[in-house]
Parts: sequence; C-alpha cells; structure tokens
Amino acid sequence: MPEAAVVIQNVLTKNRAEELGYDMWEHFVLPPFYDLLDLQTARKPRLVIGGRGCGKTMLLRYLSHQTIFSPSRPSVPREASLNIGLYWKADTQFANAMYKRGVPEDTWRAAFMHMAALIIGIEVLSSLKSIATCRTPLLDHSELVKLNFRRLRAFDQGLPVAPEELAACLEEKLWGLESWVNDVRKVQEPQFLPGPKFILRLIETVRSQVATLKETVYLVYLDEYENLCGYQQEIINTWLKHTEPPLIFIPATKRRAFENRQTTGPESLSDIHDFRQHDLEKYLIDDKDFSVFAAEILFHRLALGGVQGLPVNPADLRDPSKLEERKSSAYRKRVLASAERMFPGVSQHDLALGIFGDEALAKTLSNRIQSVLKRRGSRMPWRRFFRPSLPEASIISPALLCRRRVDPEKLAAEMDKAERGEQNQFTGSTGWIHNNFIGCLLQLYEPHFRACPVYSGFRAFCQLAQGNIRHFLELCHKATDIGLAKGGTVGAAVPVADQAEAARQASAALLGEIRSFGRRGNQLYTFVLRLGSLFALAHQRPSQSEPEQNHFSIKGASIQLTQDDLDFFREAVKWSVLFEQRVTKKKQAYLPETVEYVLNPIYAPYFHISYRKRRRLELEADDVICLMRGSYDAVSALLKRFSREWEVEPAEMAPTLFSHLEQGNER
Amino acid sequence: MQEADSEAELSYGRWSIAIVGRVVDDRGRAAADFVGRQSDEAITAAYDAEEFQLEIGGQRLNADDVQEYLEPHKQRSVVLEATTLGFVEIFLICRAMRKLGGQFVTLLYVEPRRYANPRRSHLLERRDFELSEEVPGYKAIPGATLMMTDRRPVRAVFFLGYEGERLALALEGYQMIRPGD
Repeated sequence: MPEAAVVIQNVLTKNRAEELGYDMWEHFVLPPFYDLLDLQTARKPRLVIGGRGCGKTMLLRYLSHQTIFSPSRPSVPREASLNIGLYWKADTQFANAMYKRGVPEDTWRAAFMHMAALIIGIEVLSSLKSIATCRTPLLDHSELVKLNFRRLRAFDQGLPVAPEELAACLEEKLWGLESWVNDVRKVQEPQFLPGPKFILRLIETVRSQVATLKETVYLVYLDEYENLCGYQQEIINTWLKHTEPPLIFIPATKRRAFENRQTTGPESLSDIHDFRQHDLEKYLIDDKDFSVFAAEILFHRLALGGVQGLPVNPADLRDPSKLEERKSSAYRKRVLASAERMFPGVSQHDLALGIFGDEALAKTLSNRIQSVLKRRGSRMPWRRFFRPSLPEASIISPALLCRRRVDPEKLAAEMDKAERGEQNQFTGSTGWIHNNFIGCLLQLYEPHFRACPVYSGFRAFCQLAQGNIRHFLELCHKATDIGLAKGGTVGAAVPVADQAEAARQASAALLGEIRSFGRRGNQLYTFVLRLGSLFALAHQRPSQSEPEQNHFSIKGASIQLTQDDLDFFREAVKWSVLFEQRVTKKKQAYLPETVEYVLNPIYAPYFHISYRKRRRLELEADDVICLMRGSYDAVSALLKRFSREWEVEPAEMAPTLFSHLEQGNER
Repeated sequence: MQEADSEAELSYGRWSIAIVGRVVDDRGRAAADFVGRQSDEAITAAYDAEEFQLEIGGQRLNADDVQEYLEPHKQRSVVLEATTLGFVEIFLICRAMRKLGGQFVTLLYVEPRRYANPRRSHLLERRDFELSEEVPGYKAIPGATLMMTDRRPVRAVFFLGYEGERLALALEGYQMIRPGD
C-alpha cells in the first residue's frame, strides 16, 4: 500500500481518545451542540452521560488544561485561565482493591480521599505548568517558581514548599499508597490527606499568590464514575452535593449508570437541585446535524493525514466562534456533498435495477415469483410480475403474491397501471413500494449471502453509526481499506459493493467486541446473536407482512422479569447494545405505556437485516427470558416455532447463520 | 517438568498435602482423585474475587493472610492440582510458599487431548450461541495490585488461557492501556 494510504489508514484507525493522549488540540472537532454545554463555566455540578464511542472522553480531555493550554494552540484567550479543567479517570481495578480485606471501611474511605487528593493535587500543579508553557503564557515562569506551599504543611510536615518538589512528593505518595494497598498487613499505613480539604487549600494557595489565577475555578472531570465501588461513589456524591467554586466536580458515566444517589450523609443527591445532566448521545442522535458532524470529523482526520482539497478548514472546526458558520445551509450542503462523493449511496431505483442487472439475483426473483404462483394455483405467466421496466414493483411482487387477500390478476393490473403512469397501489397512498421494498430487497440478497448495497453510502453509514463516532469511523476505515487495497486512491469515491462489504466487516468486528462489554459481556454477546437471528428470521417472512422488524417490546409489561433480568437490560442499554425508547405506536390505545428496545443498527449488516426503525416485534415475556437465559435447545425450539409461525422454509434461512440449529448437527 | 500421556509414564512420590480446587467435570475429578490418593491429606481452596478471600481447608481467610495460614506447612511437600484450582488460588499459594521459603511445591495439570487439535472456524459456532457465564472482569489480587495509569509506562502480562477476547476485555475496561506505546 502506498505511504499516503498507510497514513490515512492510521488516522482513521485511531478512534479512541485514549490513543490520542491528553493534548487533543489537533484532533478535536467541536460538536454542533457545544454551545448547549456549560461545562467550563459551571458553578454547580454537571453530569455528562454518553454511550461508548460518542466522544465523551474526547470532550472531557478537550476541556482539560493539557488541551486548552496546548503548545499547539496558536493563542490562548485570557479568560481561559478563569476555568481550568482537570481530567481524572480512576483506575477502577486499583480503586476496587481498596475494599474489604479485613481493613475497616472508614480506613478505606480515608485512603480513597487521600488518593483523590494526590491525583487532583498533581493535576492542579501540572495545570500551572501548562499555563506557563503555552504559546501565550498567562503565568510567568518566575511567578511559578516563586510559589510557596508552606501552609500545606499543616496537613503533613514532610510536604515540600516549591511547586515542582511538591508535585514529585505527591507522586511518591501515590506510589506509597500503591505499596500499602498491595500489602495492607506488612506495609505501614500512609498518613492520609483529607481529600477535597487538601485540594481546596492547595487551590487557595495558588489563588492567593498568582494574580492571574485569583478568580480561577477548577473543574474536575471524573471519567467513568460508574466503575467506582459503592462507597467511593458515595464519597464523590457527597462532594457533588456540596460542590462550589473554586472546586467543582463533573462526573461522566455511560447511560443508566448513575443509579447510586447516596451520599456519606443522610441526604441523597437529587436531580436538577444538585446537578444537571448533559446527555451527549441524545444531543447527537436527536441532532439533525449528526451527518454534518460525522463528515467534518472524517475530513478533519483526512486533513491530519495530509489530504488536500477538503471542504473543511481544521482550524475552524475547533473554533467556538465558527459554530454558527458551520450551521449555515451552504456549508452543510458543501460538506455533505463531498462526503457523499467519497461514499456514494444508491437510489432505490438503482438498487432495484441492480437485481435485474445481476443474473443470479434476477434468477432468484423469477424463481420466487414462479414458486408463489404455483403455490397459489395461478396459471398466470410469471413474466407479468417480472418487469425490468418496473424494477421496484417487480421486486416486491413475490411478497404481495404471498398475501391471500391480494389477487394475482388484480396485482398484475396494478402493475399495468404503474407502467402506464396511472394512479396505482405501488406508488399511491397504499405505498406498497414504500413499505416493502427494503425488506424484499434484503430477502433477495439473503440466499446469496453477499453484502447488500443498501448498507452503502455516507447516509447509510451515519444511520448505522447512530450517533457513535467510533462506529462511523470504523465503517469509513474499512471502506477505504478495501478501496485502497483494490487500487483506489486516497479520498476518491469508494465503490458501492466495497462499501457494503466494509459495512459487513465492520459490523462483524464490532459484534465481536460485545464480549468485552463489562461483566455480562458474554451474555450480552449471546443475547445479540439470538435476537439478531430472530430478526433475520422475521425478515425472511415470504409475505413481508411485518417488514424490517429490528426492535421489540415485551407484551404484558415486564412483570415476569426478575431483578437480574432487569439488570441485564440495564447493562445492554449502558453499553448501547440496545437503545431503550418509549413506545411511539401502540397497536391498541388502551395498552399501558411501555418501552421498546432497538438493536444497535451497527449489527444490522452482520445479520443481514434492516437498520431503519420501522416495525416492532412484540414478544411474550417468556420468549424474551428464553433469549436472555434459555438453554441452547430452548432457543433452538423458539426459533423453529417462529419459523413455522412465519412460514419461513428452512431452505430460505441463510445456512451459515442457522446451520447450528438444524437437526443432527454436531454439538 | 514432566509431560506424559498417562499416569504410568510419570515419575512421582507421595506428597504431604494436596490442595485442589472445585471439581466441575470428569477431568478435574480424575486429577483430584489422583493427587488425593498420592497425598497424606487433601484440602480444597477457592478464591472469592468479590470478597478478596480464600476459602482453604474449611477456613475463610482474607487473601492478605494466606502466608500465615500456610506457615505450618512450609516444610511439607505440597501438590497444587492446577486443573481444578484457578489462577488466583495458585498465585496466592505459590507466592506465600515462596515467601515462607517452601522448597517442595509440585503442580499437576491435566490437559484435554482435544486442545491440541486445530479448531475449525465457522461464522457462528454453537459455543458462540450458548449461554456464556458472567465474567467478573479484571480484578485486583491483593499483593499484585498495580495502579494503572497512562502517565508512566507500565508493562503487563495477560493470562488469556483459551479465550483471546479476555485481552479485549482488558483494553475496553482499562483504556489507559495504550497498546503499542
């Protein structure tokens, strides 16, 4: 692969904040909702919520001192020193070892506060260095070295007074804490520093001695709060409850992971009164600008890889004053058009023509028409429904012919009307094509097990990613990878078939990642395989009476579900394997309000199902329980029952996906 | 180290004490029975990762106190039945015996013959489709706890067994680990 191509692949594969370090200045693209966030100026706690891959860590690191005072930033505004962000992600494996083991709980509490004092203290001191070494220093180096922390000796007589020595000493104390946690019996217990009290005194010392920082507020961005132990969360909650300038705590968690509202005192945390929430994923999914944002990130990455002639200016993408300009119609059109040129999609009409242009697919279509006509005892010639001049109508005709109430003669007459350009049920208000086309198209591709072009195109990539930037970049990465391997050039249009294959590869790779999603990762993975197989089966219904089912609700509410089952769903939502939504279309108005669960669309290409949210599958609670924790044989029986109910012939099921369910297979 | 296809091909004497784990299958039962027959005494050990405790010989101890428990056994010959014991039990006992200056520790492991066969690769395997157990993820073991941070270089060895995805679990859970740095 040419060198330029390797560079491009590298910039597209680094799609986690952790791989980019702490200084995000070069890498960050301000999200369109940036002006809704008030994280830098917050004087009350904020809670940042967002699923995996939505850019949470990237945002928090952008707001932290290493980026705001980055040496790469051409000039730093004076007001930047009014609010200084400190990023803290606790090593939860270590934090979780500070528990039980015959050590009294109050000792562990004191040890955790000590750890927080050391880590945040080191960060405060490190921020001074960032401020002094940025391109427009707001703090003179001589002022920095003159700082005297003598008053902190009230906490520990051994603390040095000079900033550099103090930072080194706090680092050594952290090592001392590590040794003690390792061997609580033999190593002497350290002298614990009193958490926020120590940090506040440290901040006061800085504010009183550095004129530029006398009004400064420090904001601690605590990433992955959810992974801390219960008592540690209670300590953080207590700090949230009583937080005020100059030290504000802002925790960040995955969805449905901020459940523990206890503090160390008698009062619990209450929403709005004690903190406000920023749900990043919601901002992204709800925001019609996601596709523009996704395209900007893609082009920004390409710009970092040295690609020329892109429709964005990287400097503008990190400039808050350019946010409005980025929302202008002309800019949006330009950016989207470029992205669509790179990843072209296929119109519905061309998707349909593609069937007629492919011998094997056309044969599948003609066979299906002939088979259903035979089943219905009709002697009509199959070619009346196989019309290259009406490709979309032809493709859905086998499904319509499967419906008893649709008379073949009348159906052919409707096709005649469509051919003559008259009002008809295919394109009219009945909307046969609108309702059935994608389902029928997927069905035609299924036996061939080739990637369906419905998954290609920039817009399809955005829908598959559903607000997840990491997933979007993975799709782009795989597509360009295939394109370049086949001799394409950097930034040139990637052929539709290659994009579709890339979507399937990305989907398979991301499906495999589910196993690593926390303690129930294996169960979540198994559940997605089972659920995806059920949806794939639903897509094979010959009549397409309920096309494109890819989400479900539980009939009769969830009374049969145990606490453990509900916990399982919480995990699925937390890791964005499922999206939980309030039911929008109830089949009967008298039914109680309920929720539905949407399978993350990124898994759709793997299961060869639709990524559009169209029809819901209503499952009995028993069936859901079976999918979650039923035995292999029970799930096998469930799939067989549904295949009978939906009249799906075993031959119509993809052999690779379902072969393990057939009788006599090796176990 | 000895490796053989059957008991008869191994050379061994008697041990004073055998420590075995929870038996969950025929292989483990055969291994536990074997060390039981060849030892004067057999005790079981099981680690509770949630409580940081080791249940050994009918006693429940904090993992930090294993050395004190094994003190009376330091001069005895000990066989650890590694087919049934988990990684943490083996680690805690070996570390304690080493600190105590124990000289006579043997480990036995029985590997199924099929592990040596190459695995067939299918798009979806039956084992993928079966209900998998909950995994506790990576938990600190008292005595081997490292504060992972990306502010200083840390090297780690991952014991993956036959499940490569355990590495993905570590990289997902501890994103401060940056492979390749």
